[in-house]
Parts: sequence; structure tokens; C-alpha cells
Amino acid sequence: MSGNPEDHIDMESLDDLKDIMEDDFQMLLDTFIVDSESKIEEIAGVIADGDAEALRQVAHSIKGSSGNVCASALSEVARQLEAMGKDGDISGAPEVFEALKVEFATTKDILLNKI
Amino acid sequence: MESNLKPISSEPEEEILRILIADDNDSDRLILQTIVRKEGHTVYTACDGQEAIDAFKKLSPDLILLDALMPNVDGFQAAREIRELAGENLVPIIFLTSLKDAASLADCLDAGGHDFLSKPYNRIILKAKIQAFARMRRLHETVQAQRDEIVKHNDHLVHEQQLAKVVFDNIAHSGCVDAPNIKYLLSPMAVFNGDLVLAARKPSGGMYVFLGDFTGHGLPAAIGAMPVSEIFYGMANKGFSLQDILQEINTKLKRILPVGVFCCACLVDFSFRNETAEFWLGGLPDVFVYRDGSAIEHFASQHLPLGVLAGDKFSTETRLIPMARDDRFYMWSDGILEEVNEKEEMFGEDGVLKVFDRNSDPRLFFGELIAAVAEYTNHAEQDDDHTIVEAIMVAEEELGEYFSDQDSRSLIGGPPDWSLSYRLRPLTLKEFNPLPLLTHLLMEVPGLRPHSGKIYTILAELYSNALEHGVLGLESDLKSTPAGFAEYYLQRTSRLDGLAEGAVIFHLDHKPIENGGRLTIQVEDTGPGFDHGEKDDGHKTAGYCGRGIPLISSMCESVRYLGNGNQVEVVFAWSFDS
Amino acid sequence: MAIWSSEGSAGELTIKIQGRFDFSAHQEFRDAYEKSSDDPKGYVVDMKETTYLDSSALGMLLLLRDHAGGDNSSIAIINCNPDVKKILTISNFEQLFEIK
Repeated sequence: MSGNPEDHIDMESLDDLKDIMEDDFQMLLDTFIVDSESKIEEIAGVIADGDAEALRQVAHSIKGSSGNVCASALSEVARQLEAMGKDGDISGAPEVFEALKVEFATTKDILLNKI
Repeated sequence: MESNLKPISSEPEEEILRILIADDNDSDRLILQTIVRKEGHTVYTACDGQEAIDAFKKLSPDLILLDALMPNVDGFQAAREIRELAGENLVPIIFLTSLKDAASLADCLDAGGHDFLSKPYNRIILKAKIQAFARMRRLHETVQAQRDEIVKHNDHLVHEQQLAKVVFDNIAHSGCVDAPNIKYLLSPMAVFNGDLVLAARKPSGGMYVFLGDFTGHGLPAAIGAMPVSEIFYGMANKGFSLQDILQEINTKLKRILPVGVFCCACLVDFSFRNETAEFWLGGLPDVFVYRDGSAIEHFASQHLPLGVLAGDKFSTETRLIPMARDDRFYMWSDGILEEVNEKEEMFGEDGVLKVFDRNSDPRLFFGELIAAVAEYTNHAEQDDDHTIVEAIMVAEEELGEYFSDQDSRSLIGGPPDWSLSYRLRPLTLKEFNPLPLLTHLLMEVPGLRPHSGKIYTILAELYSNALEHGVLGLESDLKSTPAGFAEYYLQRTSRLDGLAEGAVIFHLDHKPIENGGRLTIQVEDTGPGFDHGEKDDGHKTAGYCGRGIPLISSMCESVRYLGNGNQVEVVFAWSFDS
Repeated sequence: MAIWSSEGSAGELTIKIQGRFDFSAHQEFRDAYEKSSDDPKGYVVDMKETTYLDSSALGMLLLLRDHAGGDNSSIAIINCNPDVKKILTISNFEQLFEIK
């Protein structure tokens, strides 16, 4: 884990979310983690295929869902990937994808700690 | 008519809705579902656009939260299909999107979304939006319900008006408006119009034609037409004068119509025998007379419309003009003159005069005028009611067939050739005044009604003579002093009370003669009579004087005493023209 | 169509009608004389800017006349253009109103 959790997650909003979700909070996080892991795998595939449009779609999805669980840093990295996909130039994608995986790992740790 | 329109909204602020959430992202859907459910709403979920469409068909939710980007069918396409399925019902669709650029957000609205909600979700905004759309939906339903209600009411109203119009047409455009010398055009603006065309033949053979234009349009305007029509036909058929009819209609309208509602009118009395037209014109545009295909004369309104002035201020002054055979009389409501062309200029009297100028055959003028107005307005919807009437001065024979049909009809209520005897015995003499009954009977004779005043006077004088002097034996000399006058009537009462025998017998005989009739009235009593030896010398004997006979003599062709003076015979000769 | 009313120095109420004077003016015209504060000594209907008059407007004038006391009313109709004047003349309204 690197640095302050606040650099990765908006903790106050996450507390709110926990209040809202109550008993479903854990299920939400589980869902988010499982879903994100499968999407990260998908990204690896689409980058390898050089499919910019597919990259845009998957990254967009991660951007949205990470935003909803208050993972603002992860959402921002996903946004960069989405932008590359949209521009059609994914030459820099592998590098950003690496950052995404690191950020996801951090986010996951913080979230699991929250339960 | 009752109205069941509901108030726009008095429902609680917070409404429980059935909400469909469609999002392919599991965690997003889970969060949203949880938030929405905690607000108390019922939630259905779908994982892509196709599922959303299927769920909509099955569940018809009140509100849809729709993710924009989804596999299979995306949110945009799903929104289009759902809108299509919803038809005229409002199903609010809120797009869920993390798209930020304006073009993408605009796409959401173009696809039929009503609003969008950006990720990450803000609970307070979501709640506010759901409630706002709940209100909008309720409003839409209310408007729809009110619209349906209005449509229903309107259908009902139109139906009622159609029925009423049948009745109205039977009343307002009846009589002899279809006579061969009359042409008329009535073009209704609504189902009803405020215009009225009536025509009736007079017992004397002439014809009354009436054009009326009530203030306003539709039902209120048509209501006033009923009494006008009733009075017109009732009085025209009984031979009342133009003045009497106008006075009666004006009085009636003044009494029943609210202030501000009145009837512009023209009433014309065509005499085919004298070849004249006598008319009264109040509030309508000038009437025109088109003479032998060249000269045109017009006459301006002289009077206020009918129903404005009280009876004592109302003037029935008319104009009498000669009309040669085939001269044409035109009258119209202001609608025709106020028709406008595309430049909003009125057709006006000038327009009418131009048609006269161009006309080469008077028989075609009526059609040419209608065509000219239609052309002027470029066949646009008319602004006002416009009614045109043409009446032609013809020889009475030309109407022969038409009027003879009318004759046989009107004769059902009017016997011209008959006689009767009517014997009043003591019990009747004591309790019953026979004069109204006899007058009423005589007034059934076509053409005799204008003479009702004279006839009543004659009957009344003869009856009182027969009863008082003949049956009761009272001396008229008694009435020469004030005391005697009172005594006379005291005796009249007591003798009548004690009357045990005696009778008064009326013999009435009416025979039609050329252009009129002869009414013979004999009144006989069971008294002793008197010496009427000098009867043929005039009205000088004591027997005559004081018996009201001079008055009767002035009204009748002849007065004769018969028998021993207990029988008097008067002959009243009358003509349609007198 | 627009209607204004104003009270003059001699205690008369002036009602001005602009544009078409027809049934659509009904409520406004009534308001113009019914809402005037105290009893005016007379009425002036100014038709300077009136372009058109129909039979329902004639009816409204009769309502005003009734309101103003019927036969005892004092109502002047002024500044009529020829078209408006013609309609008033056809209806013989000069018998009921002072038309100037």
C-alpha cells in the first residue's frame, strides 16, 4: 500500500455509501472487485488485439463503477485509458494499464479494510 | 353540463413509484437499486437494453433509469423503442451516464430521454429528480384525463347541437321560403347561425318575408330565433299587419333577451296585386331593389334593431315602394359585406355594386353574387354568418300552384263558408259571456282577423240590446239620468238573477266573396220587440237611438230590423285590402 | 385589441378602444366601466384607434348604456372612422348615443 488512503479513495463519501448500502455494502464491494478484475483481464486482451473501441468501452465502464465506489484515483486512470481508446491511439495504453492494475490493487486493499 | 375535471394535483409530495433500473454494470446497478429502494420505491432491474424493453412491456414501470452505454441494445435505442411502446403515455426516462461532453448528453435527450444523471450518483439529486418526474407524470395524466373529458363533453355537445339544429331548421326556415319567387342562402358558421329567414303568405294573397340577424353566433343567437319565428308565422297567417307583427316581435325580444343581444332585421310585405313592397329595416345593411335589369336603388336602415327599444319608443314606420313585375328585392346580413380578402379589405357594398354592374341577366345575379364573394375571399372559411335573400315581384298567378297547396293547408284551420245558430237559454245568459267564444270562432275565417275589433263591437252591441231590452225588458230611457243609470244596472242584475225563461239566438253566416267575405249576423230575442216601422228611413226614431245602433250602422253594409222588432240583422262586408 | 379608461376633469369616464372591437373585448370593455371608482357624470367612448366594430360590440355599447342609466345615460361615441361610423349608422345608434 502506498501513501495516504485519501489519495486513492474519497473516504468520507465511502462512509456515506456504507451507510446507504448497510448490509449490502460488502456485497457491493465484492461485486465491484469481481467485476473490475474481470474487466482488467478484458483490457489486457483488447490492448493485445489493438482494439481501441473495445478499450474505450471497458475503460469507460471501470471509470463509472470505480467512481461510484468513491475510488477517484482508479476512476481517473480508467478515464485516461478511455481517452486513448476514443482517440484511436493506444500506443501508450500498456503503460497506463500497468498503472491501472497497481491502482486497482491499492484500491482493493483499502476497500477490503473498510469492511 | 356537469364537469368531472379533476384538480391538477393534491397528492402527497412523496409518491411511491415503480422504477426500472437498467445498467450492465453490476456494482453500479447495485448501488442505484439500493438508493432507490431506500426512498421507498419498488425497483425492477435489467442488465442491458433488450432486457429493459422486455421489462417495460411486462411491467410498465412509472419511471426508467437507463444506462446509456450497454451491450446488446444500448440505452439510446432502448429509449426510442420504449417511447414508441408508451404511445401517448408519459414514461419518464432518466439516462445514467458518466459521459461528460455536451454532445453525448444531447444524444441522450434526442433519443427520448427526459433528463440525465451523472455518475458517480448523488443521492440527493437522484431523489429530487425522481420526485420531479413523478409530479410531471401525474400532471401529464391529469391533462390526458381532462383532455379525454373535454373530448367527451364536446362530442356530447355537438350531438345535442345537431339534434337542436333539426328542430331549429324546422322552425326557422319554414313557411314559404321555398316559394318560386324566393331565393336564399344561409351559410352556417357554427352548427347554428344567428341568421333567420322566414316567409309566409298572407291570407290576402301577399307575402311577408323576414330576414333577421341576431347578435353573436351559435346557440345563444339561435335561441332568440324561436320566438321570432313563432310570432311571425302565428301572426302572418292570421292576417295581422306588418306593424302589429313588428311590435309584437320587438316587445317579445326586448322582454326575453339580455341587454346587448338584439336582432337586426328586415320585414317586407309584398303585395303582388298592388305591385308594391312595404318594408321596415332596422340595423341591417341597405336593401337593394334591382329594377328591370338596369336600375338599382338602395334603401338604408331607418331603425334600431329589434329588441333594443321598449314598446312605446319603438317605431313601426315603414317605406312603401312600387315594384314592377320581375323587379327584385335583395336583403342580406352584414356577414357578406364584411367578408375580407387576403389584404383584410372588406367586400362591402362596392363589391355588391360591382356584381350588379357586371350582371347582364337579373336571373343570374343571385348566383353571381355568391360566386363573387367566394372568389373574393379565395374560398376561405367565412368570418360571419352570411345570409342573402332575393324576392321577386311576380304575378300572383305565377305562384298559383305553390300557393294553392298552401291554401288547402291553411284552410284546415280557417273555414270561409259556413253558418251557425247559437241559442243561449237562461242558465247560460246568467253565467256566460258568449262574446269571446263567438269572436274567436269568427277569427278562424281567413282574413277576418284584422276586423276583430269591429266585429267584437257589433256583437257586443247587438247582444246587450237583445239581452237587456229584449229578454230582461229594461228601458234604455232609464239611463238618461245618473241615478237612473245606477238603477238600470241594479235592475239588470236582479232581473238576470231571477230569469226563468227567455233566450238570445245568434245566427252567424259567412260567405266568401271575391277578395273578401260577407258576414251576416242576426240576433234574435224572445222579448216583445218594438215598433221599427221607420227603420228604413234612417236612424231618427226613438227606438233606434240610445241603442248603440248608429255605431253599428257606421261599420256595416246594412242594418235591418225584422219581425216585430225582436230580430236584427247586420251585414258586415270585408275585403283583404280593407 | 386593447382598452384603456381614464377619468376626465369634468367627471366623465373615457374608454378608448384600440384595434378590433368585437366579442373578444367583452370582458375588458365591461371592466373598463364597471371598475371605475365612483359614478362618472358621463361616458365617452373614443374610437379613434378602433378599426372595426361588429354586432357584439354594438351589444356591448348597449350594455354600457344600460349600466349608465339607460334612457337617462349620457354617452358620447367620438372619433369614429368612416367604417365604424357606417356600422353605427346602419344600426341607427345615433338614436341612443351621441355620435361625434
